[in-house]
Amino acid sequence: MRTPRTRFQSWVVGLAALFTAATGHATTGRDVLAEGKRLDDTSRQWTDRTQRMTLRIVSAGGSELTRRLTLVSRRYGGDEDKSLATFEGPPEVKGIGFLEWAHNGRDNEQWLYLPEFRRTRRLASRGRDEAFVNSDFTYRDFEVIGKLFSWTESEAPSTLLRDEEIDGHDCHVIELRPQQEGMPYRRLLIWVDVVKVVPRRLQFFTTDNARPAKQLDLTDIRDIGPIPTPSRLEMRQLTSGSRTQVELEKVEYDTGVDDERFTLRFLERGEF
Amino acid sequence: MLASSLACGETFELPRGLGRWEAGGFLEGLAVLPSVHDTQRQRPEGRLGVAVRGQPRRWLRVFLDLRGIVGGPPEHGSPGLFDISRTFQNLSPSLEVEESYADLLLSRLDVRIGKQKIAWGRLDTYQPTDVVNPHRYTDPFLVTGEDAKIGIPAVRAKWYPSFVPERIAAEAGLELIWVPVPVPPRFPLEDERWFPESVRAPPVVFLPKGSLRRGLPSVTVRTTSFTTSNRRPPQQLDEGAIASRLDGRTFSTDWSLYFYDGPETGLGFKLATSVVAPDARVALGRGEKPGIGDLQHLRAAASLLPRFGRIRMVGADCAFAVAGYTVRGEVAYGMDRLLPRSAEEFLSADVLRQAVRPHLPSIIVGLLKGRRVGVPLPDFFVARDTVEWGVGVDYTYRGWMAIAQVNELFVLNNPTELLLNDVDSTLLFVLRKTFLSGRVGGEAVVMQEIERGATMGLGRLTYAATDHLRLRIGYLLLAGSRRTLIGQFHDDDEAFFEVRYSF
Repeated sequence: MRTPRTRFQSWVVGLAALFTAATGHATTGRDVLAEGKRLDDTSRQWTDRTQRMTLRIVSAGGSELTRRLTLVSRRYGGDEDKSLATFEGPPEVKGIGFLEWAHNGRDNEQWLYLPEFRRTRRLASRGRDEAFVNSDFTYRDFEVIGKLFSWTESEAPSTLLRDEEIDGHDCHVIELRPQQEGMPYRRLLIWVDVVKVVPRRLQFFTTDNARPAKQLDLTDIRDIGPIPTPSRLEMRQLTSGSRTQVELEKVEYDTGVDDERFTLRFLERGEF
Repeated sequence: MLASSLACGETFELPRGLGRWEAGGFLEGLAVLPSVHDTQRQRPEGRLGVAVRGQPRRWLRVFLDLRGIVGGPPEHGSPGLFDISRTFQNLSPSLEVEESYADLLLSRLDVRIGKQKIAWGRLDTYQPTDVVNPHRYTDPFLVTGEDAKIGIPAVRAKWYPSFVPERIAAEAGLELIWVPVPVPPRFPLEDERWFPESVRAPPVVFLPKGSLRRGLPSVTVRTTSFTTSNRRPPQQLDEGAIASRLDGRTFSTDWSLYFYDGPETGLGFKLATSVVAPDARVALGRGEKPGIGDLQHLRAAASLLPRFGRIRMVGADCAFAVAGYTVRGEVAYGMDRLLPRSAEEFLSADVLRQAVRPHLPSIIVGLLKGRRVGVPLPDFFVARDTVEWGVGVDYTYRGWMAIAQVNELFVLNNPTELLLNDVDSTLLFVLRKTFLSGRVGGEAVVMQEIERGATMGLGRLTYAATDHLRLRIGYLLLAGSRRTLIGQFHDDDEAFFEVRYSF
């Protein structure tokens, strides 16, 4: 549950709204991204987040598998964060847990708990380009979504390409060329909502071709407190035709999730 | 409504402060098609697993896992409930309480009390330090790992001290385990498909003239009866086990140290044999006095009995990630581990002469009187100190996961010929890949015994038809010398088909 806002926070939110309106007049992609980061660091800042979600993984042929999970994340200083995913269904995957400690400047640490083996297995972080639970998302995709606004211009040079409307919402279309070592995406196109300053669409390009490899749509964006949060995400593989829909059934910010939650002890214990 | 919600695997809040509960399980069918048609049959098998989990209080969880099986390897089985004190149990349909325990979740202490499985070690497939639970060997290549473990009654407490500096050991934990009574492993009966030849009494043993004693004629012993018999392990509390594990993380390396002092949870058998001289009995029947010449043809009745021992084990393991690879290592020093002898060596004239010689006069007298006489055979399984180690590396690339691992066993100070080499190495390769958004999964496992040259290959293809329905086909390949743990089954290649509905 979000704690009541202080007068200071309310003031920040109000100022942010004014500033948000100002992004309609942004002149560069970096201005828009910097505004997103500024909001994320002030009025939209959160320390912990709990998301309950259902993934529907739809193959090119139309057959469907679902995965229900709870994802708890906590941010720390210095661009470090920890997250714990616990699978709640279907029965074949129930009880599987995935713990990640994202570090700044060195490889992330990851552990997977499989109830079938009753053991926690350390994973190498190279796995970040692997599919997340066989979905069309990779672990890196989540990392990209989380860090879009916080990359610097040298980490991801940006270009404001045009303005475009998505589902009746005005958006800036910005091109990013991430420079991180090992990054599989040569460039990204982001549709940033002019009013809410949140991404509404991302296209992922693995080559310099005009055709993206994947497209992510973030829809049904609702304000949870001051934080605009998409309730539905859909990642489509534009080459193979498969897609993954994510429905966020419950999202809570700053409920006071303890640091101990992100330990191997809690990974093995699981949620109940 | 409650029942239907539980049956769907949903968590349910019970009234009157009884907390949250859920139930789930699976219904599974397995059929095998042996590639050699005159091999021992294995009936189609049906399994039902039901698990109930509850959290009546914030600090209390309970868990119950029941398993019912009908068909499969047992022959002429009778219905019953598996118990934890017998090695040979011929039950079908059967019911087993896999696990049944309560968890007390305190701020720095977790306690688990009840029948449980304990997983030690970090390697794949075979972990040298994983000695706390005995295994069932009734279907040893398809039912493996944690599925093959037998739950043991135990109290396990893990304490997470707050005073250990993170730089020395992050998330340091000390686990103490007490197992009050020994639980033996479970082994197939002599007429089951997976009863190994290495523990079966040979049909004929020939002892050349004079090999037992100068002046004695050659002796041919024919085994006319071979059975398995149960002995319960000692049930006193001081025959149980104590074990501990200390673990933590230092410099991004997960590590554990282990200690175990308790009953041997691996296999151990002894062969009880008695012989009779039919010719001597015929002579006595005719009112004649039998002579040494009437002892040339003997008939033996052999019975395989569990042998129990106590072992100690100290071990360690670690896991870390480097350059995209995950590396795991494990080592264990075992004291008085029970190891199987080679049957040929065990029943050779030399070994028999040494074992039988002190008792030979009384054996001869008994046989000449027409009696059935017990033959004191040497130990079938011998206690030896061992060092086992293993290193495994895994790597994931574009959805392919490859594991390469080597395990090696050193048998220390061993004058006896065993079914293992004194240095016995095994290579393991695993390749996994999912296709079609996880709907289809493939797995190939190859295990190669280096010194003795035996191979186990397992290929599996799994198709998730829905979130709840899984189909699996596979092939098990077994090859190599009969004088190896794997190769003795080399006529037992099989294709298998499995259907599983989870709820």
